[in-house]
Amino acid sequence: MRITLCRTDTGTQIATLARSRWLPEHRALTVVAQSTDRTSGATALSLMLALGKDLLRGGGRTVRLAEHRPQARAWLVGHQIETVAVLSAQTLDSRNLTWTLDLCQDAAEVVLISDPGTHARLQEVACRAVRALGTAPDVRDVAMDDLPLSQRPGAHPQAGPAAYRRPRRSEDCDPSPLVPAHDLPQGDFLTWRGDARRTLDEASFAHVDEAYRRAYVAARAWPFEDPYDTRTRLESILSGAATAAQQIAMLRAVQAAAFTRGRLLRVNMDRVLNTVEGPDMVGQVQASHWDALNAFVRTDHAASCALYLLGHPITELTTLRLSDVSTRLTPDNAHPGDVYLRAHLAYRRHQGATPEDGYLKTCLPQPVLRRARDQLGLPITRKQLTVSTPRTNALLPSLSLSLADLR
Amino acid sequence: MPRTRLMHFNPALLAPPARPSGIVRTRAIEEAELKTRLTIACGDICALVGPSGTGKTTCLELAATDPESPVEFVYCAMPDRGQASGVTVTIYQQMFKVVANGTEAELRFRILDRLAEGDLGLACDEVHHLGVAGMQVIRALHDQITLVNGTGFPTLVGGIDLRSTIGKVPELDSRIARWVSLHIVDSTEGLREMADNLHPRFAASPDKVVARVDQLLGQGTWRLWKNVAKHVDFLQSSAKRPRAAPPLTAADVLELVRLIGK
Repeated sequence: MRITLCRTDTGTQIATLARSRWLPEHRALTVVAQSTDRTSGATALSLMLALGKDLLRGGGRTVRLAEHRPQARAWLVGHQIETVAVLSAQTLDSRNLTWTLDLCQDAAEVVLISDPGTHARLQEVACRAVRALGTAPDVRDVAMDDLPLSQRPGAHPQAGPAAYRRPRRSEDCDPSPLVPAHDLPQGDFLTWRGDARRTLDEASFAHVDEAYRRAYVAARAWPFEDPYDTRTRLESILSGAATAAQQIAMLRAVQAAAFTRGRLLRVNMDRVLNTVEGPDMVGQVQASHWDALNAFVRTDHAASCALYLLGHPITELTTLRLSDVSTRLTPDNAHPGDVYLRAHLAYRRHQGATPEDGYLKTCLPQPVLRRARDQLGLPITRKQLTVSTPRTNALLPSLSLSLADLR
Repeated sequence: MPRTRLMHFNPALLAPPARPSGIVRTRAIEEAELKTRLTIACGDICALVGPSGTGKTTCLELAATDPESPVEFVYCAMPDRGQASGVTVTIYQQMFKVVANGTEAELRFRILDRLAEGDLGLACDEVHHLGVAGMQVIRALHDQITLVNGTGFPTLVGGIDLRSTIGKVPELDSRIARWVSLHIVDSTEGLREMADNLHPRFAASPDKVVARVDQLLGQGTWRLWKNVAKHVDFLQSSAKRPRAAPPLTAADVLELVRLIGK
């Protein structure tokens, strides 16, 4: 690691200058020194906030402050940060600066920038911090204008964190063309279609109504005599739905069709959606979903979601080893998911794990994926969170399906 | 053992300030308004300095309650003997109008997240309570938003004797883009402008009476003069001729001194 003490001239607008000089696409991270950080964990947290982590997302509060240190180091490796620029570094004391340098030990260069007129203080603080660090890094002292402009040949445009953007939240993700199931009306089948027309916008209603009409027309021809036969037909028609919302619409349509035939068809909606083979929505992952994963503070959370979005079944996530993941990483984080996989790989390696050790050792995937769905808007359905395979033979009693004759 | 009483939080404590009324648009106020507009346009920091009672809070409240302002200023009165973490809590509570709940980092994150939307400014009053450490928190917020948005957010800071405090710290001094100095009024013209607009009896009074009132009671500050003006209607001479506005006499001045108790 090389430490550069950078002095600025009078009148320099440091943040503006830093923004144009140390760019994310050049694997640089710019951090504003927080002199109020009183612990090494708080310093790590400030670093992670600069990387775009969101403390308010799941897992942000569950990590003890001291645990932020290995997480921060891992994220710097994951994002392949080579240069860390610290603005107003002279406001830090030597202890805080030592923590910062220790966290950035995997980076090639740490640039400590002083405000105009404060360079002497920075030199003094840096000298004490380097001594406390115990290593002998290369230290140089330059003026801002003498620093070469960052030119990294071959730097991938996707490399670098979302440090200059607000962290993504679920409401920031591109609007999905899919209708969330919880947006649908809760009423029974008799008034369902009218309620849906009233409460949904045009596009959403069109999405569900197409499935409704298709199911209604098909179900009008069903005999509705034998519940097991009804169950089989129901399973067949629901498996053709593209989304859970269409499944709900189809179910209501089948109930309405049964009613016109003098039959009352009752089912347990939640059990139907959990048990019947549902649509696979992993193919609908968008770039914004990958960005949204950057909000997670914990590397294992982000890595779990990344592996799932890459197509790994939930049951396989906890069986993967470090060697399995490291072989699939691309250089320069060419794939947007590589950042998260690389970060957790670094975290496990810092823990002393060997290539044959488990990759996701620390968390269960289902709660993490559920949290990612709810907080970040990732396209994960309830059906996909279910580990057990559907037992079609037990479909009838488990659905609480009943068929009553009203004639 | 006495039962512990629950502290009920009064939401009025987080209410925004009311728009100041009855303000005389002196040259100082107009200068402050002009520099506020510049600050909004440039997204940088403007400092309002001056002794107590010279109109700093009034200028900040005017900015925070201007219905035609393109940005909404969040008015925060900094706590006395405030620590740096208290700055974050105060800004958070005034920004979101809820009691702060969370670590300092979480509160800072939410403040930055909101400021990054670009439609808010900060109007921080009594910043002399903060000291250098507290002002560094505001400076750090500004720098972080500049990194995110390319430009900062409009910030007005008001306090007593800020020039000497900020002047000692280069990273703070270099970020103050403009200063508004609000002074104690000590010129005859300034006193007349102030007094004439506060009460018609002052407007009718000669210069020497106005100067005498200032010497004894007003001391050149708006706050004290406004307080004096409130008591003019309670003078015996005012009670005798309520509809008229005769000039103040020496006896009236003495009676004012007695009423106010100085």
